[in-house]
Amino acid sequence: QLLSEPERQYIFDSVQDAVRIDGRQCLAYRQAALRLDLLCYATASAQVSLGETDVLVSVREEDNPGATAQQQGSTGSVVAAAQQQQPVSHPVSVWVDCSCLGSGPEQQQLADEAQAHLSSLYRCLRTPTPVFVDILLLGYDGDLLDAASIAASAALMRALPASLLSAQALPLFATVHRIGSQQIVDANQLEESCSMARVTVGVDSNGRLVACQTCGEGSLQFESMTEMIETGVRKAMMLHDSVAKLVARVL
Amino acid sequence: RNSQLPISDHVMPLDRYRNTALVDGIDVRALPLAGDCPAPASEGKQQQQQQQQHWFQRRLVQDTVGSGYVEFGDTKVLCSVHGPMEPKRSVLTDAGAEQSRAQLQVYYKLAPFASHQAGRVSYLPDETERRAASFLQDTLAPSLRLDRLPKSRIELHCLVLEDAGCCLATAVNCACLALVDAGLEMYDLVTAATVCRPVGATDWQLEVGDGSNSGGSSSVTLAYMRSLRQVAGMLVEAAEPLQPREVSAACRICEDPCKMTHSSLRQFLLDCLPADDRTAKIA
Repeated sequence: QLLSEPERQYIFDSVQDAVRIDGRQCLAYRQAALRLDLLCYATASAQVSLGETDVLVSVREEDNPGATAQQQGSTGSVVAAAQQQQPVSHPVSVWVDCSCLGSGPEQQQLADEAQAHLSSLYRCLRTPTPVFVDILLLGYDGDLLDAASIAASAALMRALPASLLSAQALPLFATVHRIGSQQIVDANQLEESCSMARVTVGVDSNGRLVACQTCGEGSLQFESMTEMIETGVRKAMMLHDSVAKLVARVL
Repeated sequence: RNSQLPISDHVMPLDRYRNTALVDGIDVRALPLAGDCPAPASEGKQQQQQQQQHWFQRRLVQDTVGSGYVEFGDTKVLCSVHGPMEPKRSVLTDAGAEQSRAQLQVYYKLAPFASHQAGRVSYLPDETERRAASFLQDTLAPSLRLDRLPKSRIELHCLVLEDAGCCLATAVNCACLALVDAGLEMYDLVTAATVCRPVGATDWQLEVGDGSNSGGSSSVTLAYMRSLRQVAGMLVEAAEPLQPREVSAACRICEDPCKMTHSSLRQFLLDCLPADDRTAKIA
């Protein structure tokens, strides 16, 4: 997004006065919509739209890894039996596609960063069968990580059996940007280009961190960084409540 | 192993214009094979202290603007800086605001032989390496005076020759050294340290380059600018869910090693100056 210097200064100054360009509070999220079970060939799917940011996630579970081997002949059944005897735990495999936005290097970089973040979010999650999470970005207006994590976690909650979920609570991202001396969450694209530093925290439903990283070309004081982490954890817990209520209503 | 290694008898006649390394060289066949390598030193307090010290070297690579080499224990990282050069133009680049600062592009790669545990690393950058490159970029950018070099691009190539733990923090230190060697203006030296904690333990320990850190532990890497007292970057890789106060505590523990590295790097750079220039610099 191209911004002139006066526009950048305008956004900066108004955030200092706790006024955002779309009239939100500093720590308020945009109107979000979550839709589940859109795709018929996926084990589970979810679509989240957070303002103009639109993310579609498909979760596909290879629920019978021996099935394709059996089709290949008699040797396949030996492979299937061997696989069933050894319970293997697989990590979740994440892929992010930004091709709807264009094929330039900036879009590719956005996709790469999102993939790295989301893979680290689900690092502690182990499943008995391979699970593939494919994230398709249909529209982008800032705050990709939060929207993608909501969609992916909601879809994973639908896809994975309840026994697995009770042991490991699914994490969500909350990104806190720092503009001047104010913290904001759920920045849109204009605000993201004005922010110098951001902290992204991945929080599970018990309030514990599974991922935490600072990004951006600015530096932070220790105290500011700690405050941003705390804000991120609070916001992520709020998101957890909302997502849990929504998913329970659908079920 | 035989302490006297055989020297090849078929040596070229001494020629003072040629490289005379062959005369002092050893027969390659006498070098131990990979299986005979001694185990990485992990016992002994003196050895531990040695492992915690950095070895700095600059000007290792000839054809670059600046280069740095850092060893931290067994971890070895080499960085080279190219530029300022023509900026990368894309369709979305605005001629005005975007060009007022230099673009910093960081490339990070593990050498194929670098990893102890993972075996041979592919020659294409994988997800961990791309993540490390973007972390380095976000960490070094706050300190560099990129506004002094408009309409240009600076490339930083970071090659890890051996990864025995604490690789990312050593890469930050090495990149900072290379940028200073290149003569790029910076607000402050950026130094980094990593603390790690195995799953289920309660204490954070400084990660040193002795290969003792296995994959199943949480680590917190902090990049710190000592004079400005600001955090340039922070990365948490959690093997288990962590409380937020534990992460903050780990960052505080990282602060002291970062400061020590800052002092030793600064002292090394001062020692590199010719003696008559040294007194002219403000201590």
